[in-house]
Amino acid sequence: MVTDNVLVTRYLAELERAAVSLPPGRREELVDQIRDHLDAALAEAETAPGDAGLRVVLDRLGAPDEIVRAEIGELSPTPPKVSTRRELAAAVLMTLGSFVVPVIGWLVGAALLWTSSLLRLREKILATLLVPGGAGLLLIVGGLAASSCSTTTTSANGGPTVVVADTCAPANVLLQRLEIGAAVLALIVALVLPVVLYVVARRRADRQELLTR
Amino acid sequence: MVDRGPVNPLSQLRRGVLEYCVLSLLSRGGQLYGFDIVRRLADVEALVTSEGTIYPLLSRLRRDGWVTTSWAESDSGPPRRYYAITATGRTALGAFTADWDRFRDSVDDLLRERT
Repeated sequence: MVTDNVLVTRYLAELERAAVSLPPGRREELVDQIRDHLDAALAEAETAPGDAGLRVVLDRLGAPDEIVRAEIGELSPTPPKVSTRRELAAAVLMTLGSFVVPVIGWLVGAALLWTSSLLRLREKILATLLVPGGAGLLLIVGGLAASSCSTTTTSANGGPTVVVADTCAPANVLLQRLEIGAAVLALIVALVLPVVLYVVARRRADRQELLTR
Repeated sequence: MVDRGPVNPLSQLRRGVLEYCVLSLLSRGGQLYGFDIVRRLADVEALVTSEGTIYPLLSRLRRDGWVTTSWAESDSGPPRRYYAITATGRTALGAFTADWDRFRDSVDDLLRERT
């Protein structure tokens, strides 16, 4: 049996010492595997190898430290996850935040977006220009525009009221439809773009995680 | 072989491909004893520096479900562990082989100035 030999027992003892940092199940298994290997190596030799022969076998096996290091390497924890918390917060602030805390909410979200390492410059520029202030600001501006228009009327004594000036009436129906259309489009973009950018960032993060596996 | 100290590119390459070499041996050889796997790898020049480091790799392959192990009774001593590839292992091997072919061809082309 291989453990009859002093070189081998010393080697295995060194291995057990080096493996003390391993989980117990794995430590036992590793020592068993190495002992198994040595048994097979000796069985392979036709005559019982002398110390020189054994030294060759042990050399080829490698230093116990190195083997344990390899084991630790294989036990390495899962690679770090790439966080997209920043991009998520930016998306939320630039959409919902623009209603809850108008202007400032959007600004904070935009600032977070600009510090993102997962988005490209042109994507950040796009998000800043479409739409500044976010959906919240759009609605506020739209509301102000609507409430600031006025209809001025006069009436001659006892006569019917006549509209003198009306800034609420649109120049024509087509223009009114275009204005409404543009406003709706801007609103949709302001709500959707930050979310799309978050998804883009998440996909890039996933790809990065995969590559560092 | 070029040795640039701790950041030896060849040793990093070895680490990456070694598990697939093991899987390849198992996919062709049926079931193999650990010792057989180690010796066959050692026959391939410059692939294995320290034979003992194959065993942690084999254990990790088992944890990943790419390899299974069983015990065989041996008349000349204690039961010996042998290894076999799983279906998942075969799939992983197939995927790597395809990637490797492309990779190896590209690197070869560049190194030999064919591109």
